[in-house]
Amino acid sequence: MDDRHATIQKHFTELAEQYHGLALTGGDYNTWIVRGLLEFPATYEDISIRDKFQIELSITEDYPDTPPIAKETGGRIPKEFHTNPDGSFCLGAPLEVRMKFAKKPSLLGFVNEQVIPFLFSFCYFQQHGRMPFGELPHGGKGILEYYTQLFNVTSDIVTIELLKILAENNYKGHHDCPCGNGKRIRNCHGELLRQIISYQSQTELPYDYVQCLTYLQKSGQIPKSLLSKNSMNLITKYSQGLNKNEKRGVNAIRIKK
Amino acid sequence: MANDIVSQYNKLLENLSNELDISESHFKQAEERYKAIGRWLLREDSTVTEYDPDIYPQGSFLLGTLIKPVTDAEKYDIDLVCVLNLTKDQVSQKQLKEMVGEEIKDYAKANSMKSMPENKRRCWTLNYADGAQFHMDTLPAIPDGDSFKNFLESKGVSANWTELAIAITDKTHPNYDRIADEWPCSNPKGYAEWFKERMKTQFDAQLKSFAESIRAGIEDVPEYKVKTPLQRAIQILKRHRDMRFLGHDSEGDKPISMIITTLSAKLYQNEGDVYSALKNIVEQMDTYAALLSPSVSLNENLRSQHLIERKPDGIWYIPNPVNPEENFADRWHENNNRKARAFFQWVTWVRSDLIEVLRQADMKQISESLGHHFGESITKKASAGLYIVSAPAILTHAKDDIPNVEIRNPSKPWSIGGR
Repeated sequence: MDDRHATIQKHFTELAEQYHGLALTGGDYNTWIVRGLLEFPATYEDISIRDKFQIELSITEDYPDTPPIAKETGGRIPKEFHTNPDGSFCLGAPLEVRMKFAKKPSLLGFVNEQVIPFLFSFCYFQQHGRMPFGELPHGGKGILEYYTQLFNVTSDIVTIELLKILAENNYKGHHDCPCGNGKRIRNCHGELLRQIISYQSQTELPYDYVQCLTYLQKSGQIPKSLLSKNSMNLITKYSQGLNKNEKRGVNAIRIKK
Repeated sequence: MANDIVSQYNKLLENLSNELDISESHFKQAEERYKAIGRWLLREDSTVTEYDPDIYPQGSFLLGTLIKPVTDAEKYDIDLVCVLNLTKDQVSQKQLKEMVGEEIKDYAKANSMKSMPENKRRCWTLNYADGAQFHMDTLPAIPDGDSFKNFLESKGVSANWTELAIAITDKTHPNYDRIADEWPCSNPKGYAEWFKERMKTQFDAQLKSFAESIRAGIEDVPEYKVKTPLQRAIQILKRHRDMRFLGHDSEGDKPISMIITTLSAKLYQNEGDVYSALKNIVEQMDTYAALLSPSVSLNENLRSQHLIERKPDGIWYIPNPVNPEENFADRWHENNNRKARAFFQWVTWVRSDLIEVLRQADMKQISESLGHHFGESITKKASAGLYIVSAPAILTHAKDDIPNVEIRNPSKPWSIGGR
């Protein structure tokens, strides 16, 4: 039994103590999948929901560095409800999913912090026709909104400028922070940027950046100054990858360590 | 549906069909036996040698859809055709039957077989006593005259296939013991050609990849080495039928293999995997269940398929694709459509046992459920290596032991968009 296998077994045991309907299966090619009935009671503020879903968690090759991929297999959740083209859940913006998982990198942590809240959202939405925690817009717009909230800025352009630093791997602590409060980056958004770099890889950052940029470009909100040669190259390079990966869902982009 | 569970299920179905196959040694043995009969008929003092006897297999053995008997106590039926080059004005059905019968009896004596061949309605049955697990049914036949070819062609059957038609004998036929133009007819070789045509795309592709894998030329690969999803699906359907009707009230009305094989081959769309093939076949068969209520008429689309029809007099009609005069469903209307109802009952069983079973959460459950319908040991063999299971740690917890999850700081669901 190798280390990864041992970790998976350990994490599964912890998960199964709480959720008895799940089983760990391992098929060909070293793929591990947790399958079965996930029955849960959950509360959010004063709302309580109890339900059960047939789910499937595919454990990634570099687990526990990256989160599992979650799906519902009982046919209850329609494709239109926040799922990737491959049917897996869009639990949140990709960065957020990773950052949350990194805090509790286990199957139980993932299920409790992300899968159950997602299923909770779905149940609530079915009963009441609205999302209890809100939702991000589709595609680039949603990514942009997420980063704008994360950076705690008010302008999409500032978000793009910060993302540009990440995507072009061009962090210089002594430069002025693009947010315009007059501080150097290292004394302002620098800490957050460094944190993000530790979660997202050198493929995902340009991917997010290009999604946001493409969205702004399409809606005509982008100043010329941002369309540098570098950015245009990135757009060309990643939009091809974007189309390819869109078919499989963002989860297809994974860091190889 | 998760793709990997579908692909694992496919692997399971593929393995299952392999388990249903006749073993290679049995296959060789059967081949050896029928060739031995051929050599016997052609030997120097054979009484029929002057009529160029031609002996060849027909039915599932020829189609590659033969399945093992359910238990070791049961036997394989190997169906042979023995064609003598005679015409309808030279012999009667009875004379032909007896000419072939004499030779087969001599063969049994010469090989000191314990039981003599049985004179059945259309064929001679040889029982091998030596644990060989075979019946060998030999069907005496003559090439069919041009008149019948013309007749078939007038029904719109391709000339390639009518050429292969034969006239056969039937003890219950009114012309059995007199010289006459009207004989029962059959076309097993034509049927096999038709069947191969239905799966040609997949067959050629698999033959090519098999030949490449053993670095051989296509012509060096024996046909039986290649099995298409259609052949596998038929094997699985036949075994499912045998098991499902075993001891059932309507066991005597279970669908015959020719009907399963013909309908499956007609509905097959060259799917590349067993599950998709089965799903398509069964779902389409199911749409014909409406015919059970006499007032219902099918929509144009279904009628134009000419798959299963019901005549105004209530007679069901499933034609032999190479001989529209032969109706495989000629007894379906009897006893208030008992056979038709058994067929459609079986179709719903297949749907739930083989298609909807995929709703189960994992391969272990799927395999257990298949075990109920195909037998545990064969299913176990077929699922070996497909899953490793770590059972949930504690099974005895009551429902309410699940701790409540308090959601704090939830993410907003996103979606990739661009669809």
